[in-house]
Amino acid sequence: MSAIAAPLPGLDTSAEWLRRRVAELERHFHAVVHVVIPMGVALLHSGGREQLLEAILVEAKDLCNADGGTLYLRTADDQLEFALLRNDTLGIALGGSSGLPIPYPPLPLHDPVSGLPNETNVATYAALTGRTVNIADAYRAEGFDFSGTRAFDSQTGYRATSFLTVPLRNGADRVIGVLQLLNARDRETGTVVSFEAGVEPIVESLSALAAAALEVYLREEGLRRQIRELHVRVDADKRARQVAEIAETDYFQELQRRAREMRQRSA
Amino acid sequence: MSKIVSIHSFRGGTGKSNVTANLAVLTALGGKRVGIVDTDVQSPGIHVLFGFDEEQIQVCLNDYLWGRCAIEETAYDVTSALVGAPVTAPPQSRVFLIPSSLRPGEIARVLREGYDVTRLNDGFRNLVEKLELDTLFIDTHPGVNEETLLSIAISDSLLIVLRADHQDFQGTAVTVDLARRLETPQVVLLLNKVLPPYDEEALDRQLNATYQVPLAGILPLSEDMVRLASGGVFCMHHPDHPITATLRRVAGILG
Repeated sequence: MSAIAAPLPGLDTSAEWLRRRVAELERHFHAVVHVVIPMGVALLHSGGREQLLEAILVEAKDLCNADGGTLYLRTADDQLEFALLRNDTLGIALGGSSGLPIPYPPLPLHDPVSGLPNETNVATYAALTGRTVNIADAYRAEGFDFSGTRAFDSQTGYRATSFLTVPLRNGADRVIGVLQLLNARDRETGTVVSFEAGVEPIVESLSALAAAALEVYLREEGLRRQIRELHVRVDADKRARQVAEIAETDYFQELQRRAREMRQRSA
Repeated sequence: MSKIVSIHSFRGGTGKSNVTANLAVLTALGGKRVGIVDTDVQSPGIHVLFGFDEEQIQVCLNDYLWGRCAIEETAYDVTSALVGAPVTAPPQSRVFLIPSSLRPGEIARVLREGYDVTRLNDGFRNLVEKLELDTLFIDTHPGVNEETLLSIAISDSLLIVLRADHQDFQGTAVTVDLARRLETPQVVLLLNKVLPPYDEEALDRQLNATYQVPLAGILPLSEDMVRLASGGVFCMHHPDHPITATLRRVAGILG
């Protein structure tokens, strides 16, 4: 076993550490090759963007062995609304293909009274700053208000601990949503652990794909709405005037008379 | 029972000639003898879609109108256009093309000199009779002028091709009203070049409410259609395409 130990002193060079490290890198490689790239390819194909968005949340959750995940969308009125919510322990699946609405109110990005940015909530902070936030224990985190999480926990008996919150940026570098993963679990023991820093770039790549899928979805929805709202408008006065102008000509009246004769003859 | 079908649009660029060529070919593939009269001089000319060289055209519709030849002499057999269809066309299928170079000045003169409906009608009826046509398609000139009104007046069916824009909506309303006054027995709409995605039912409902005539189909703006452009008849190049399926349905409605 000593053959694979690193020569530098002071590092954790145990075989156990190396085994875990290799497994972690293998998982990351697997995620890039089998999740991130295929998702990107799927995105190039038309259709099913909504499902793709849900698949991205599920894959990001699996990648981190996270217990829960939430996808927030930024609304036109500057709020983050819950679009998808999953929690394995509690058996909760809301939004998306579940067909169930999410009962939680949207999170305002700015204080409605003072207009100041709402940076106390980790999801709104990520949306406002565009930064990824990795929190080991919400109950001990400084600078963020997890009162909503605590309220949720006290009602459900859950214990939200680690959070990985990643903004969804669109092509114009605007944050259009937030992907949040909850309670990473050790793959062997199942205990809740913090999100490993090495997984962040992969979740960020998945978020970039989610943002692209979301953009296409929103654009298509916008077009659909435009078509739904496409009113076949006809100016009735102008219509009547134009018809009368033609119908009153001698030519038209003669044509009308002869056409009628012709039809009577062939009938 | 033979039919005369006019394909009209209020403005150019709706894809009217393409639609006409496809409807004619699809009808012919069903074992019919069809004729296509091209009276649209502003568009590229429907003969191009059939790979027909302008220099091959010796006599055309206006020669008949000026009394220089019989109507059937202006018809060119382009049945070879059906070769290559996934289903071999029945032996009785025929496609005839009656090209035209009816310049606005000429038609105006014809009209001024007292040229009447019965005469054009007789010409078309003769064509139908001599060539034993099941369906005669008239690719009309865009807009409402005396020549289009003639075509509408003598037709059994009128198909109005329009795009989803306000000018087409307005112009179509006028054409529909005039066709109603001319007592054209069947008037249907074909909405073309619609940018997907679209809500087919909502469009159908709205068009019906506005015009009180049936919507025969909706065709999306298609990359495949754009790529083929005037290089051929679409349904022959893409027999399994959804656009071809819609056109086949429209041909059935007009059938």
